[in-house]
Amino acid sequence: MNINITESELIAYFYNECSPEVTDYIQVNLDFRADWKEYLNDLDVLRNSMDNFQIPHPTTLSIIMEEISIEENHSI
Amino acid sequence: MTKTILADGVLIQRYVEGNQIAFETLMKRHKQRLFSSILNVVNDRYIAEDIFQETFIKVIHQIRAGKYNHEDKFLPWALRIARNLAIDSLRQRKRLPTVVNTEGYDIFETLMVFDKSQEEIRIENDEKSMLNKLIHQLPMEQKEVLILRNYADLSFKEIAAITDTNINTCIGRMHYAIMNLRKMMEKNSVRVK
Repeated sequence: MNINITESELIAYFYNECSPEVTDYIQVNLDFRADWKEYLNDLDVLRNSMDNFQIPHPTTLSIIMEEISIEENHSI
Repeated sequence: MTKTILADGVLIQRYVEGNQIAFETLMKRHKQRLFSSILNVVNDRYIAEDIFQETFIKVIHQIRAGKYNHEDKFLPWALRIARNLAIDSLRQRKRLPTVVNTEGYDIFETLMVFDKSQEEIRIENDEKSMLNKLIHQLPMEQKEVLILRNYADLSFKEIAAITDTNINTCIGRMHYAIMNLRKMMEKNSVRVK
């Protein structure tokens, strides 16, 4: 069986959102497809570069909780 | 004794019943993904803090008004609210994104954390930072898909729902983002080992 794999399918495969049939097909043929590997590599690089997770300042969280308390008191 | 992790829907229900700690738990659970997503859209820490705050205030209002009916899909719902606020903020600042150029990166690097010199780590961080700058130069709709998929960890189906598009459009935007980033890097002769 020969399936024409598109970049969209490679993206879906990379994020585990591909159909089982296409996933199997890509896995079986990946070693023979340098272009697929390069594309998946780009996706991996991109994801790795976006791992700088940040959190809001604790004051922001406190303000939100204060706001909740104020609203609760108003509603009583 | 094992600790039970309550589902988002349960926490929301408890908050509705008057338990504020439940809401705090919910907010702390999602603060990283939500804040990182907002920050990467607006690219300004102070504005991101404001939008994060506004988002949760809106979330509270909607929950209290009985408008939350997404069961355990709290994050996509909150992100939708945050997205609208972020777009409003960008419009107000008239900071419309433009396509420009450059930079590079590497892969499989995370597997080689050991044996890296300080210099290697510095270069790697520079490369990462350069790539992040390039991401901010992408058109908003492409950048948005990257952020929602990689920071918020939403599926393309969830992203499609938030952005009022469909799965194919979202994946297409991701593809164009890759293509644009490749061009930018090539144009600037950026090569990362």
